[in-house]
Amino acid sequence: MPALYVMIPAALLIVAIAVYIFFWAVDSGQYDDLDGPAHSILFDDQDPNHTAAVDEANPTKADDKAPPHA
Amino acid sequence: MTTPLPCYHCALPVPAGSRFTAVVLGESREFCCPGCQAVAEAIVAGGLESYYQHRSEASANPEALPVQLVDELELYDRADVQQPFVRHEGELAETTLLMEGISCAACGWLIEKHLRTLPAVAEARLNLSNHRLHVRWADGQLPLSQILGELRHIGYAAHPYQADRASEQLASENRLALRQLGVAGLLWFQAMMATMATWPEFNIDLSPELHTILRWVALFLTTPIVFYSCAPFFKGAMRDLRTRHLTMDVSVSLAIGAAYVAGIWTSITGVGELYFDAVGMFALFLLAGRYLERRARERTAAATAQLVNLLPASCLRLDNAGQSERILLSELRLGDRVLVQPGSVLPADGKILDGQSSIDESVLTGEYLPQPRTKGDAVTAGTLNVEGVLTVEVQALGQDTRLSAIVRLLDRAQAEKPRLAEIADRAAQWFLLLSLIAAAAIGLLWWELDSSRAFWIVLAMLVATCPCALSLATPTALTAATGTLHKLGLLLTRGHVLEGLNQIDTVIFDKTGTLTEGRLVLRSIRPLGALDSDQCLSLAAALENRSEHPIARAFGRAPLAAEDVHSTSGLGLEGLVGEQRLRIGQADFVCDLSGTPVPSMPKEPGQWLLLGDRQGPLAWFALDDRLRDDAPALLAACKARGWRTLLLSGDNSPMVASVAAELGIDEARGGLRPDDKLQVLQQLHKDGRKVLMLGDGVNDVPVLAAADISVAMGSATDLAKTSADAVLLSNRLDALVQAFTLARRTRRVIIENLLWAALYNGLMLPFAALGWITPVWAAVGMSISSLTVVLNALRLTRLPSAPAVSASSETRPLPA
Repeated sequence: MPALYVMIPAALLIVAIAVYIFFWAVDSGQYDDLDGPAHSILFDDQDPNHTAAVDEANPTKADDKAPPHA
Repeated sequence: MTTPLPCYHCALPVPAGSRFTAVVLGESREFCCPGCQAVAEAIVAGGLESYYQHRSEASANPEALPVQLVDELELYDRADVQQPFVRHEGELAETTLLMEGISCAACGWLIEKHLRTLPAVAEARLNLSNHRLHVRWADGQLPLSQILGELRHIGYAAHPYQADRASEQLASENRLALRQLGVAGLLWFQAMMATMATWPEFNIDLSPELHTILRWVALFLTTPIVFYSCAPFFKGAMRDLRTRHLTMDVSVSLAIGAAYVAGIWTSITGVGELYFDAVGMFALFLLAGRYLERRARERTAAATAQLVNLLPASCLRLDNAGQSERILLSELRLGDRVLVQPGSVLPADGKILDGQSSIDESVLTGEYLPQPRTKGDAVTAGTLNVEGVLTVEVQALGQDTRLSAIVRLLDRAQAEKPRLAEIADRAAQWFLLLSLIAAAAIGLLWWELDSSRAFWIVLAMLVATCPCALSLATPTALTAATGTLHKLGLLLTRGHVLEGLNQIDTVIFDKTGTLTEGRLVLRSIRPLGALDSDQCLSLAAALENRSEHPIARAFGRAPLAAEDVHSTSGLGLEGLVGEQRLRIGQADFVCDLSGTPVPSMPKEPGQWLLLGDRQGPLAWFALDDRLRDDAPALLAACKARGWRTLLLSGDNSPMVASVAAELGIDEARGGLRPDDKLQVLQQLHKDGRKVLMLGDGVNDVPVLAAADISVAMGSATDLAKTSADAVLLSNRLDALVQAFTLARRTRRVIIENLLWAALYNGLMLPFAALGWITPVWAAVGMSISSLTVVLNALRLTRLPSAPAVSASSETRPLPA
């Protein structure tokens, strides 16, 4: 049980840090737009420039998937 | 008539005979107008054509966006104009722009990508939920007007954004709500662990000393939850008690307050049971429910709220020498003379000093054809100059214009808006009253039997019957349904719409732009002479090529343009196509050219135009403001529910009666001014009717604001959108039909949820009264009942596919 004497203050400290980080995140607008970033990351995946780079990295797959334009 | 090909960019029909194509994604695509074509070409040139793969909705038509002239944009480069909304940090300037024309998430991707390719732009971030674009860029290399111009090229209009007090307050309230939720969540986990360790069910070998420490730790962790996170419940309870109402807030505050106070007592004395974890759980569940509801409701409501720009940002002022200079609207003074170009909006009320033209007053009056105006006539701010250049003397500005009078009517109407009763509030009152009486009775009984246990039993009853699930019942159902409706294209901006839809018994429609498309389309061609209809159409299109008149748009843009075109206001156009002198317009005017008698007009309804040359008349053209394809289905759905339907229009043409007859509307009135419409509504309210209003123009705004529930079309003026309770983003009326069905389902789910919650609470009550409920059982029961309610509500996120089929089968017997 003596471990609890250390664990309880440690838990309190971690919660305090978590609350502080959460407040910072809310105030800096991290939660203002919950839709946009979720979509844009998917779009970037399909971006021709991006997929072109992926194809270059894996030359075996590049043949069966020709980009429609440069 | 075959269905026209939709424009690849904006999905509006491509007018017959127009040829606007561009290569997108390796294929040649058709466009409806040069605007869409130019935007698509700009997007392709920027290497961002995969936008067209990403998008889930058609893009906004660039010609529907407000006109932004190059010299108007340049005004934004002036330091004194920039001062309120641009901040400077070293070399970089920073501003927030409000974007218009965003239709789906891919638009955000396109805007950000496009701006980031400009070397001077350091950062571009678009917030999709409120359509605000945050830009940081090197001011010295790239003036602001060019950024606005770039956005314009890819089909969006940007306006400088200045936060007003209301939206700033809303943003800070949102953040506060999120912080309260986060604090409740983070601290509850810890408080729960500390509390649970002390429960006999889990306590194996806890020393008395540690027991005390854990109690104090739990108290320490719960205190911020009660005083910070639960503040909205206590405030709400105070407000409701002052107005002598028993609401959910009162009940929740009572349970949280009692459990917390008892917890303090237990922490100090070590006697009794700890309910701190229950306090945290209440706070987290209830705050989460409210936060979700808040987010769903405000999604894009805030975005449109800013855009009440019925007036142009700038205008052309004439000085004494007759030179024009572009100034901001705020610099305009009474008695100034302004030059109004065709296609631009009048900046102020005034009198025409020179010139003649047609004025499109549809936003104010609902008349769908422009009215001829000449020297000496009065003109109104916010209306559109269609044909000729006008010089106008300013007679009323800002607050004194007729437009502002309508806005004031709106404020009054909003204040008188009736509030629809909500099921949950009524349920909560009864529930709370019953459980309080039961708690008091049982408490008294135990006081007689065993006074030392009485307090703990009453506390267990309060905690067990705390209407956690009951107060989650409505918000979760409404949130789920609101999300589903948003997917269908109906955006709810105020909370009462879904519940209120079930109480509606009367529907008021506006005509122009609501039941009809709000723009003229070519319906038929009747050749009279030697030329066939295709030849006549290309001649007419060539004549109308440059005109901004709504009639001209129906002909599309022709590759061939007529020369030497004159317009005679209210009569028609005259011009040269090749060697041929042609006139189009009113029959008398056209026959004047050839001196032949006027041919008899076809009997069918619609707007008939004659085309003729020096030899005689060539063809009749029939134009019509077409009914929306899904209007009959909407009317059928209204009828199926037994609602009374009314058509109130500002238009006094016979179109009103014919539309009403075609759709089978119960009552139709034309030629109504905004205050007449409001009077009709007030009469309906006096008769005890609950009214749904569907409209789009500024003239509908007072009625939209005063109706029990109002829905504005997505293509409506911004003022109409902000004063309505819901916006039909997709402009598809069948989304509204689905909303009716969904409203029914939502009501059913809310009632089911309330029953579930009441059942659970009712079952717990006897056990709590017997003293069998310990904190463990209270926690388990509460979680299960809340989960049931949430899962039940999630059923509403499934799109109603089956009801849509049955709705369309109802419409089959009707002529389309």
